[in-house]
Amino acid sequence: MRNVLYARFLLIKRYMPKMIFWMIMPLMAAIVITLLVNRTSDDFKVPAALVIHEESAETEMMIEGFKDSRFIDVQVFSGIRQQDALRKLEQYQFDSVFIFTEGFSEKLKNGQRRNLLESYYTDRSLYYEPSKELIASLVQEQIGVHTTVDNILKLEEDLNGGMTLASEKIVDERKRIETETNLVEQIFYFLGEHTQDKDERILNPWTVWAYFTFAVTIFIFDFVTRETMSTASSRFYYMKYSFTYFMIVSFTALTGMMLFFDMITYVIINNFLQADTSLLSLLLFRLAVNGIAFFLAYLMKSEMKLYQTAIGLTVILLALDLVIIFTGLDIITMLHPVVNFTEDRHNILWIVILLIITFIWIRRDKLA
Amino acid sequence: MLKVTELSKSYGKRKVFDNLNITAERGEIIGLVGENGAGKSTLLKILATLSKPDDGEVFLNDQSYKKHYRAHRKIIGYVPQNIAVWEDLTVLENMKFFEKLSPVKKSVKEMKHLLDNIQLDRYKTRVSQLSGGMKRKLNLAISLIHEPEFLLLDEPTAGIDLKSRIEIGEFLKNLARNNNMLIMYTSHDMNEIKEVCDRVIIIGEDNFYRELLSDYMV
Repeated sequence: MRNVLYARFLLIKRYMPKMIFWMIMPLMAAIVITLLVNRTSDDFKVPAALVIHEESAETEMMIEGFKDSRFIDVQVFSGIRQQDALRKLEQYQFDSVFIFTEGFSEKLKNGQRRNLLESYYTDRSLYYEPSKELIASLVQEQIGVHTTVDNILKLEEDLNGGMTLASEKIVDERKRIETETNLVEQIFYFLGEHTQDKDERILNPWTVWAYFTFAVTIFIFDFVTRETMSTASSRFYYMKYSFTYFMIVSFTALTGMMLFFDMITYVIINNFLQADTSLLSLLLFRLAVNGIAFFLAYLMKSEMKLYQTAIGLTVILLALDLVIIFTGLDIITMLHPVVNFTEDRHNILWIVILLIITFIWIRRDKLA
Repeated sequence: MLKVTELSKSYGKRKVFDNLNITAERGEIIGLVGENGAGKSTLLKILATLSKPDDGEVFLNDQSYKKHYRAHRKIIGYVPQNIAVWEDLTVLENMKFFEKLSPVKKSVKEMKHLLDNIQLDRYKTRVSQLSGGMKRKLNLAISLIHEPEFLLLDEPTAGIDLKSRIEIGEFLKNLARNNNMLIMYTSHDMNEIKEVCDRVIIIGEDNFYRELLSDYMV
């Protein structure tokens, strides 16, 4: 085995810089593209300002509600900086400004729904109406909380008389019930399949990484085409080790090396881009893609055709991804290595197919 | 050492050769001649265990090719017509590569000695930068790493300069004599055949070669 590895190293050492570049490239692409898209999406958020004259749990809740919105980039000003916010609005740096005056929380507790706050907008405001509606729904929710608390306290007074429940306890209990009964959370069902919205970012870095990995892995395995088509490979008939064995050892060693890079990728994407995936899924994806790339390279007659096929297949996979989104066809999903990976389904089918092909290939070699 | 009995091979309806019988002993150099398409390379490939005949048998050291072809490959050296080396590697790297995979181990010193014997001392030169003659020498040297007993060469001097041809010819004669090796090779160069070979086998129906070599041992 050591001799085979040394021979493999001799043959490939001049291509190592290129191969390492291709191994790193998907991670670089995932980082750059994800940051670019997410930053662009951040740039597409509408800037709005909240001016807070009174700090309370209610105003805090309003601020959180705005921050949770995917389309608003909110900036909070204290009451004394109200003029700063309005000046920026005049300079069109904000789309709208909402001012929570003194007494806001008191008005909410009393169930008041009119004249709760002041709002300002300009002739260029795009998102004023939706922002207003967001405030209205947040206010409605807050009023609902207070109404619940009042009703429960009244009921408690009417029925028991002696015990006193704290309003905070009631609010916490209400939140707990809401969470358990999914009054706020929504689960979407698509063609009978439950899908959970795990990620609020626009682009999953693992998706970017997977598509680039698919293409560049085929590029990396171009040595298989080169060596298979070379007349030098005919000498293996007279060697101690067959060409097939040589290639299997090469495949294993290279896959091991790529898995090492994948682990580094996993740590970086997980920690710095906050996108998770399972290690098992990553491992099976790597094995599937490497197997596909290897046998594709083995069948190709020239390196140029291999590169063209790599790009073509990647484009086809991207197109099929769209087909899956619109049709949800199971057969395509089962055979799509990238979708299987990003949806944590594991590429078991591909592993089985590749094992069968490998068995046939080894058997043919033994009979030769 | 070598015994070929009633060997036949066809490609489709075209019969390449029929009922061919050959015997050869160690230390001999046998030339195979014939017009293009006569079947020289085909015969060589059958003897090299790379192809199977339609009929007939081949025995090497009294062992049939049919049953023992894998074992025979360990003692056969085959030098193909196309140069079968790695262009991206140097001369010595090529030797090291095939030595690592060879059933016979050789030190770097021994490999350099082999290259020196064949007048190829540009160890660190990449193959892509070598002349045609030097590439052919390397092609031959690699086939000798595992010390074969039976060496087959398919036009080993095709397209190379006269000096390299003479050097290869001398080398083969020394190899047969000193290593007691059976050598069989094809060539279109009659002078080379007459100079190097002990015997000649003519493949094909064309009488041209028979007349040309009528005064030579066949």
